[in-house]
Amino acid sequence: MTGLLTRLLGRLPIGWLQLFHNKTRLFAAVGGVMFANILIFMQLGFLGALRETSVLAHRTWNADIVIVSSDFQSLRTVNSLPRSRMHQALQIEGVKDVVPVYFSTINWTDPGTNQIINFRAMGVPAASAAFLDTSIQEQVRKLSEPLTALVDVETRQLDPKIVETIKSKGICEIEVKGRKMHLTGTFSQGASIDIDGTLIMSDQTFFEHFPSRSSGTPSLIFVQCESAGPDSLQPIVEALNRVFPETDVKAYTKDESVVVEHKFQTKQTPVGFVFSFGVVIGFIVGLVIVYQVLTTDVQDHLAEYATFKAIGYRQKFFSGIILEEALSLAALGFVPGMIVSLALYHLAETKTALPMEMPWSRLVLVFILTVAMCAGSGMVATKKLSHAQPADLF
Amino acid sequence: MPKKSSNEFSLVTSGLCHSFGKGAATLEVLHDIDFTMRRGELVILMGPSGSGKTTLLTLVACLRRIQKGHVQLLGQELSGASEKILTRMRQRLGFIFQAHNLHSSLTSIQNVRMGLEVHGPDALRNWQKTCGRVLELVGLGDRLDYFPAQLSGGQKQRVAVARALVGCPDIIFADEPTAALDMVTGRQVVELLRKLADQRGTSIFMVTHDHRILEYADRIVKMEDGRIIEDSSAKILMK
Ligand SMILES: Nc1ncnc2c1ncn2[C@@H]1O[C@H](COP(=O)(O)OP(=O)(O)O)[C@@H](O)[C@H]1O
Ligand SMILES: [Mg+2]
Repeated sequence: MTGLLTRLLGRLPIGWLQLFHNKTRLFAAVGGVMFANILIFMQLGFLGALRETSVLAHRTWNADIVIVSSDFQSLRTVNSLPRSRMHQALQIEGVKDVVPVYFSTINWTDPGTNQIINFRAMGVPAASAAFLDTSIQEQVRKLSEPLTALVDVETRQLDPKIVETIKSKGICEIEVKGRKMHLTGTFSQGASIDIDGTLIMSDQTFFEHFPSRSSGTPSLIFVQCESAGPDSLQPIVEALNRVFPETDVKAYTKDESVVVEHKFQTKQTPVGFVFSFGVVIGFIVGLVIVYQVLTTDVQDHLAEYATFKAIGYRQKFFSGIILEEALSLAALGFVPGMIVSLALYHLAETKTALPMEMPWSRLVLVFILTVAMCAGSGMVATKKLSHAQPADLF
Repeated sequence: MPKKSSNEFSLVTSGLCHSFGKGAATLEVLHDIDFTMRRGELVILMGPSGSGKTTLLTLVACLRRIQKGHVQLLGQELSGASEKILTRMRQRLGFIFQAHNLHSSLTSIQNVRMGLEVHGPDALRNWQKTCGRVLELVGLGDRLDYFPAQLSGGQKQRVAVARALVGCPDIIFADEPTAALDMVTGRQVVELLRKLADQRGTSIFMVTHDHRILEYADRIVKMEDGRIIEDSSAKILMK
């Protein structure tokens, strides 16, 4: 390694050698970088899960454009809109079909496990084509049967017995707020941070469970178009927004609605803020630890550096040494930090039913952050050397 | 300005003063030093502790900024010189300090290499051979891959000497180089420097208390309270 670095740098890798000469300090520093890395990875992991799970529902929709109430911010708090907009939308050229969709939430206590599950109930007309997934779509047709619903098998804390019963008997009867509900089928979507799972039912069943809601006030309107290319969608969105009174509803393409949801979840929810804040804290913790280690190291080698300065080495040489140490620390801390984080992602995934994925872009981002963190600390640590006269350093 | 030509002299100072501290606490420790050193000359500077020997050495060796007076080192005026010029000048000098100041993470040969590396990549061709030869010269041919912690005090000082010699400096500055050495090794080090002065024309400026090595000097300069009180050829002094 020393030989390789010597050839690479054109000089002895003093920073590297110095780092390995003091093993205790090396372990402390690598541990610090690793700790900061794990902190950042976990926060980004949760932030990513928050973003990804908040749009799991969107991904199942068979909609090119969605119409929402004009104060819409997120699927989490959705207000209803007048059904008449649906008919107006059908008049627009290029619109093929429209589907009214109803959303609400149900807190269901499982009598078997005493577990409270927070479901999002989604009602669609049984005859509509509201889902992209054909296996869901086929089951939706059978939901015309009163008081039936489909349940998400990936619902957080869902008793596996329920799924087994549906699989073996074709039906599982539960009671929701004093009303019977027959679970006749399953689909796979996944939990989000605030919603444990989803129940899909016909609009008629939905009204049974939520008597205050009627067919006149859907939560969302799915718009399906003749052609779904982005070039053809944008004019339709513009036409829709022109037809509707501004204060009432607005139209987004499905992709735009995903962006809106992401933005809301990361910028406007407390959870989103906490995770973003955690990333910053992780970065600062790493900065402080590396700075501490490097300044101590500069302090300890002051006499040697003074000697090097006396025999004619430039400031650049010292910055080089410290930068070399900083980058070595970044690399040595990043690899184990990443491995531990991957293990923790796996653990978090099984514990919280949140999808914890590690995209390449995040690895690159965190590595760049780590390098910046270490290099920044290193640059500050060399300050002390730059103005001193060699004789003062002895 | 010094009148003497820079060809004959490797070092010329005139009216050199230096003080430490600021304001009312200012203390002048060097007063009006006029001093010259010829090429190939070995000069020993003596004097009681606190008389300003180290201060003078650091001033003429580019390790401290000149406050008042002039220093011409190898033809270059140091007073008012930029950091860049000072750095370039330092590369032409060799230093041996009282403390060896070896880098604890580097082996003997790597420490010596540092004296070569400062001259750029060209100087590093065959560096192992060059550094090994100089270490042999100081009697450490069998300690190339030892860390400073594995060497005795005398051996460490000899590695430091090797580091100073390896770059073939025009002048060697040594501040009490034999203080940490026993008599035999102390003599060996000074003999080595003497040979360098005779064979390569290297000028040697050495601060010492050690009377046993005075016989190697061409000239002995005595300081007291920041002034030169005696400057004489060694031969005369010995009589
Ligand atoms: N960095 C410094 N700051 C203040 N005073 C100093 C400093 N270095 C040396 N001195 C003072 O300058 C005087 C000369 O010191 P020095 O040159 O080290 O003497 P010598 O090397 O002859 O023992 C002493 O009185 C010493 O206390
Ligand atoms: Mg001294």
